[in-house]
Amino acid sequence: MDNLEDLKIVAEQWWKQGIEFVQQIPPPQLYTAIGVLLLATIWLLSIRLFRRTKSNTVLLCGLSGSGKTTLFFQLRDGSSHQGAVTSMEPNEGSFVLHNENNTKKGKVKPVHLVDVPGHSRLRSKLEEYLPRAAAVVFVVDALEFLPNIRAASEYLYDILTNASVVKNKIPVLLCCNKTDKVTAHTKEFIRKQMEKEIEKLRVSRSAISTADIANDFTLGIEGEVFSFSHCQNKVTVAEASGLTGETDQVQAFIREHVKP
Amino acid sequence: MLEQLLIFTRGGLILWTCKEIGNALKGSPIDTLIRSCLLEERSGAVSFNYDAPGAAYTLKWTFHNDLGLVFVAVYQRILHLLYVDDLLSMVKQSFSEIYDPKRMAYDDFDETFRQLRIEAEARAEELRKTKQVGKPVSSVKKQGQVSKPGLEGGNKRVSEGGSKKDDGDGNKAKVSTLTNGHSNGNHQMEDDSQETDLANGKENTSSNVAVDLSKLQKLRSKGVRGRGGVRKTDSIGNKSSKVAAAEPAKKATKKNRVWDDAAPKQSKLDFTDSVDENGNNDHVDIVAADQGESMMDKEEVFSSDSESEDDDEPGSDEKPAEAKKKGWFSSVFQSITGKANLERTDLGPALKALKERLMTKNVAEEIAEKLCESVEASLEGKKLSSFTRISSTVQAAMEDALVRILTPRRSIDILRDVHAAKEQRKPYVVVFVGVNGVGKSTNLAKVAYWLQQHKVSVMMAACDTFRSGAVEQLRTHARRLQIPIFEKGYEKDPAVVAKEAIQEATRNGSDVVLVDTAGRMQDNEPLMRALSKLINLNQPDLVLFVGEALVGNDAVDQLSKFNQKLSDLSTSGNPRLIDGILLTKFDTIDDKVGAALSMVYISGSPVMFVGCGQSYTDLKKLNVKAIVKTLLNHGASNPRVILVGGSVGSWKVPDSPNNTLNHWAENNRFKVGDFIVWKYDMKVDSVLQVTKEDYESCNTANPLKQYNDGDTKVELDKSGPYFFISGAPGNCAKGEKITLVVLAERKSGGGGAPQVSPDTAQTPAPAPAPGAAHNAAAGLKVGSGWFLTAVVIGLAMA
Repeated sequence: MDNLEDLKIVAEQWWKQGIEFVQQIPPPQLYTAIGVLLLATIWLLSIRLFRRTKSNTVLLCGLSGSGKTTLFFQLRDGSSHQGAVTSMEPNEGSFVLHNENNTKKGKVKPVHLVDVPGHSRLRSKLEEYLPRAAAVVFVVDALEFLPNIRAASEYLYDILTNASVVKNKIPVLLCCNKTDKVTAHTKEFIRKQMEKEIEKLRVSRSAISTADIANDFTLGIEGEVFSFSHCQNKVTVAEASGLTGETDQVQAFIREHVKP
Repeated sequence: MLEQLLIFTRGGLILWTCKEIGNALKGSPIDTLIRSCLLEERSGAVSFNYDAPGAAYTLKWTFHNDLGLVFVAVYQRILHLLYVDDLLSMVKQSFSEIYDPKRMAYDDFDETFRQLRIEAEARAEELRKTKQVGKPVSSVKKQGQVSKPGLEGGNKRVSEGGSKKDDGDGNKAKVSTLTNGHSNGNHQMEDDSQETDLANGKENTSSNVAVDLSKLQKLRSKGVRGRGGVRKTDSIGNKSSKVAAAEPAKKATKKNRVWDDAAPKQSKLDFTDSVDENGNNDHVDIVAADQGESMMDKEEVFSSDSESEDDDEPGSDEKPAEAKKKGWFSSVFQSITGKANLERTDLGPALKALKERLMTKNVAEEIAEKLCESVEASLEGKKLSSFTRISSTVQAAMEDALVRILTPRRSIDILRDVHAAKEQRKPYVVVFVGVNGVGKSTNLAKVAYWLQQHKVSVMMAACDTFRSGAVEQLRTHARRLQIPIFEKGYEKDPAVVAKEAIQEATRNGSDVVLVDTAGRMQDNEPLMRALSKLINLNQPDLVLFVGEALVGNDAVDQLSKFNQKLSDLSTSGNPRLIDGILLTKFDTIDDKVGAALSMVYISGSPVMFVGCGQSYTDLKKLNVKAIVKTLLNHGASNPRVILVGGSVGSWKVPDSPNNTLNHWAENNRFKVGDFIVWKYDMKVDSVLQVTKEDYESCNTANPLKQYNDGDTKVELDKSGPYFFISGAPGNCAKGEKITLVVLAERKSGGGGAPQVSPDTAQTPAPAPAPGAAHNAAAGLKVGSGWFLTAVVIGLAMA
């Protein structure tokens, strides 16, 4: 307890000394010092702001088991290692895509890739990342597509109506994963089915939209059947295979929105 | 034999698997473990059982929280591998030494693992031998002996050639000792597995048919018996005794009602057939669709406005024992630099305080306990970052966990499901179940009203053929809402009535059938059997459990018993369980919102609706963020600022007599210290606070107080009735007036809870005098002490 009192006294002494010291400095010097300090802070702040406007964050999202983690490591290391299990936490990393590594080293801007867990309990994580995303890759399991179509569509609907996605016009890639399998559905089929499902959702959700605080925006054009082209942000479709490493279309999409 | 051992990151990447064992696992036990156990905040449990066609595995796991690693061991359930826990901790120890986040392949770990495994097996073998000799060593002591050499991890005991070969036999022998029963002292690990087995056995025999009950069910039943979280390093004695103490308390629930005397009277009471459907409904006013929109469709008004952050911690509770010994300066320093690794002892006090806080919010005790264990498991070994306190770290982790639990796993968009069912040309069937008197019929009517507002054609089915007057009650609701009702009187089998109702709905094209059932206590076997029959016969799309928000520890019992009975008594292999929860009487509980958490945790199903008042519109969605906030807030709730009329109506002449401000006021609770706010055009209107007589006669001549600033804020500083009328001439007579009753003041959080709130227990000292130093040493209170240290360090650096 005395300790504290002592410290207080010492602090006060130092404080006085500091003030005296400041008073000794001639005013021009003091002002320049303050000026430099202010400039430095403004500069740092502006850098931060500048960076934020040109985000390089790309999100990988989709239902649990659609192959996001595999895709993430495929993009990062060019290998899916020993496979993956259900994620409990997001995988995050800033890196140059694996394929670009050899071509032009050191000149490529790294991509900040985030693999958001698909488990519905962890959905809330997505909202943390969406505001600073430059692009979103929505991964769909093309193999087990039909059993999961409603859940997947609902997830996609939530993303497409998310405030920051609409405001920042974040482009979305509908990535049909696992196309290496013979029985996988084609991307056209998946696109059509999901459009149909979202159309249904649009009807049911608009009925309760006033209650749903999360969905501030309605999707598509009133009175027309929903199509991804109606979205304010760009929605494209691509195929990929996380297991065999065919991720060219995904890479092209990422590079389109995060310029090297 | 060990089936598989995996090491993966929390991100989901598998780092290492045991290739040597190399058995292909049947099904996907790991994914199931993560989805239904680890992500459900049940990671405090001992083991997890996985059932798939042709496989029955037990999984054990351990975390390395600092590195974000998960170690999972899978083995056949019939084998009781004693060394698994040991092996896992050894693997964890040695793997964390070679782990590097950048490295992805750990082939060289194979050799290490082989050695560790041999060692663990040998030790287990030895243990078994010594036990057969029959030395009565206390379990805790033995545990210590076992785990110590495990941590040393050296090659002290290189395998004696044959041990590996012996292994198979050894295991068999172990199994036999286990089945033989109680000869084997009370070694803890064994006890554990045995207990688990007993539980499973019990379940399986009681159900007979449902051999492959869902895994969730098993977990749940384990939870009910309240020994999910026995951890091997803990001192077991304490805990089990606590559980034992909790058990009888739970048993003492309500007694079953005596139904017998109702039987002879029933013929008299059954008026259902004689009453004319269309006749004498003159006295029942039809509300149709002009009661305003259901609250489901309105946004929350003030529940989130009131969340002013106050992070003052109940100081005395959180003093870690060691922190007292160390000087406060060193702990201040530690908090700046970041503490090395969190240990169990550091977390203990903060978790205890948190648990108590949850319990004051009416969270069932065992659930609070399990949550804390899960949070502990997720934090242990983690590095505390700079400028954070243990308590705030724990609180943040708990907040995460709570949000995760309360976030619905399935879609709760019922309208979407209704539309989907419509496409298939069959009605969407919702069955309301619950104990007596929780408000099933009332909330059924509310749901009906809400659905009706969204252009869904609804039909009610009166399947409460048990309680006198239930059918009439539902018929009254149906008439008021102008909804068709299907009824067959009393004395009928509810399952058959429901079936006929669904057929009827299919015929006349109703979209939704709401099935009302009789209230039943969870222990009433015949009634539960009837319910199970109803559900299994009709396969409804949604089984909605109606539960009171008032309920405390009993919530766990109710829900788990309902689920248990539904699965036990089901005749099909795939039993229907409770899909969703409707929480009623939510307006009566103030900040004691714990029942919501208890119910969601124990059932794993989401809260779909919240009933919060008496009228048809009083149905809401659960606001997860607000609930979590309330749960973690401690002490008395903060003063709220409430806009008169909520978001829609304000200080103006009401548009319909059904929609007055008083209607709004009746549905809100006001407390001493709350502020109410009027917003209006100051040129044409004003607010007068008047006496009761003036209020009734709309006398604007002599108000108690007069406000005409356009944005009037009045503090409700005493309990009792308040009367306000409009100052504009004639407006009061048209209905622009409001009276509200402020509830009497209560001690922290209401309910007259006996426990002393931490706030009142200790008043924090205001000055950086001894008190502050104390606090700084303990929980590191942000305040003047902090500022001072910051200044000192800043100057020292300069």
